[in-house]
Amino acid sequence: MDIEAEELISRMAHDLRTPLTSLRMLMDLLTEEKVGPLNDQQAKMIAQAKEDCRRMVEAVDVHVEKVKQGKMQ
Amino acid sequence: MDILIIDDEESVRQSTSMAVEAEGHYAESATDGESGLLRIKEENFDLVFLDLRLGEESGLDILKKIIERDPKQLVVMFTAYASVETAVEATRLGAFDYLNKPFGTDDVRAILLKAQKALGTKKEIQKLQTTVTELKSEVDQSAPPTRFESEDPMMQGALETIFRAAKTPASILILGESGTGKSVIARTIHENSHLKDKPFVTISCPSLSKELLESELFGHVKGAFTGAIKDSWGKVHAANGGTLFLDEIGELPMEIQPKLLRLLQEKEYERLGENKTRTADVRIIAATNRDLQQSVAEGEFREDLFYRINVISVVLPPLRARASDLVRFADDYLQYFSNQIGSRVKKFSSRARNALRAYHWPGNLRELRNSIERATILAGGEEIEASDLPSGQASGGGISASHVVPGGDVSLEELEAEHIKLTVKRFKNLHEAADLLGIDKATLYRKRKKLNIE
Repeated sequence: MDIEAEELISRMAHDLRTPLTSLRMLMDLLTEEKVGPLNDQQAKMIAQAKEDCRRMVEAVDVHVEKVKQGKMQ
Repeated sequence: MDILIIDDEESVRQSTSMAVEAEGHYAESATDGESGLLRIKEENFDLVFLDLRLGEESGLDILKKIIERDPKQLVVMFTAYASVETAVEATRLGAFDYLNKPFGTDDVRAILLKAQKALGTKKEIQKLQTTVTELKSEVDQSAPPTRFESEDPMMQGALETIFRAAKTPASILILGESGTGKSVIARTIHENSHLKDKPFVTISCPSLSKELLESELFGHVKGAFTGAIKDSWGKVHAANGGTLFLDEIGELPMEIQPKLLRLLQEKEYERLGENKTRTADVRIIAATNRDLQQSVAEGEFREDLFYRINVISVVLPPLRARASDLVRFADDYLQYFSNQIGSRVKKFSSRARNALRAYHWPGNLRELRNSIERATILAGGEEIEASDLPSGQASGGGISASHVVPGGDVSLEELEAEHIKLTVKRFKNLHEAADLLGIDKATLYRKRKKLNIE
């Protein structure tokens, strides 16, 4: 893999994963009730959002890996 | 902890800050490398979070600058594309750890705990270092200051050799009568050497049985001899990498000499009762008041070992040969002991001063120190009188205290014995003594043996 491709993947991973970081952290803080108590419904909603966030992370991982493999061939 | 977060992404800065603050720490943010570095220079942060990608800037470049400024600064990198190479590179540059995006609050907590532990160790080491320094200065204060300036040309020469040789790995042999400060010089050599941060270990060769001395030096395993109830490591092990000072090496038993030689040449030794060969690298400083060359001639000291330790040798002249230093040292000791006990005695009477100069001082600095301490306590007035000094000193005794004087009731043999004894005492070197007496060294040696002179 050449340096240019490596750089491209690195940038892509960074750009996709950075917003996911704050999403995950903010939702962690909410579920840990660091910013105030949650009622059951709020807790459920955040759990759902967290789950979707996790799927998103997985999808990013898969796509980054795919691009990497493609570039290497 | 005080924490700085350097990231160009506002949402990451904010969420990380919140996670850090939720754990009870102080968090501050910077949006780029330059402003981050500026804050690091202004404040003392315990931990820095640093993004690997700050717009067009590389986090690794900023990491380099942070570590350049303070190699001990804890920096945790945020990575998004965790290639092994990047992580290795960051660690090589001195990063403490890294967090892979997208991380959660539990990841942040784990890092904070790890950092806190590292800082705790760092602070504990600092505390211990401070304690050691404090204790050291306390110890230093309990002894009169050691003065190295000397007006005596022979002593000046010796000091010059010592300070020049200190920085080399060469073995040094310190010769001189008892009480001339050989141990102090040995420690000074160590403290002025490249090994000053390494251990300095002293072993006194006399006063121990052969077996105990060997065990003291090299260690032993359980059951090696009667009384060896557990394994022990010797002083060679303790001194590894540093300096081993062998005091009174002239008393080192013949049986141990080859083992010491092997340590010096091959850097190898074995513990008593064990076959496993161990290695140790020590710089040797040895001291003796014996004429080692004579010991070699008499077959009491191995010649090869003598040459090995005698790479550089210095002779510390006796105090009686350093008249001008003597008076200065006496004054130093007087000030020191006088201050210590709150006495108003601050000087010597002229008669006392003459008595000091006239005395033979066979115990050298140690004897001088003890005499002055005693006199300071005994003195009634503001001056130390000759009568406050031990009687031998007050009468200017030592040499003339003997009843053996020419023209007295004394046989030729007694007179000869006394003359040889005093002459040998006056010169450290038997050659010089023999020269003055007008006989050769072998004759002097025979006469000493016959007349039973030490």
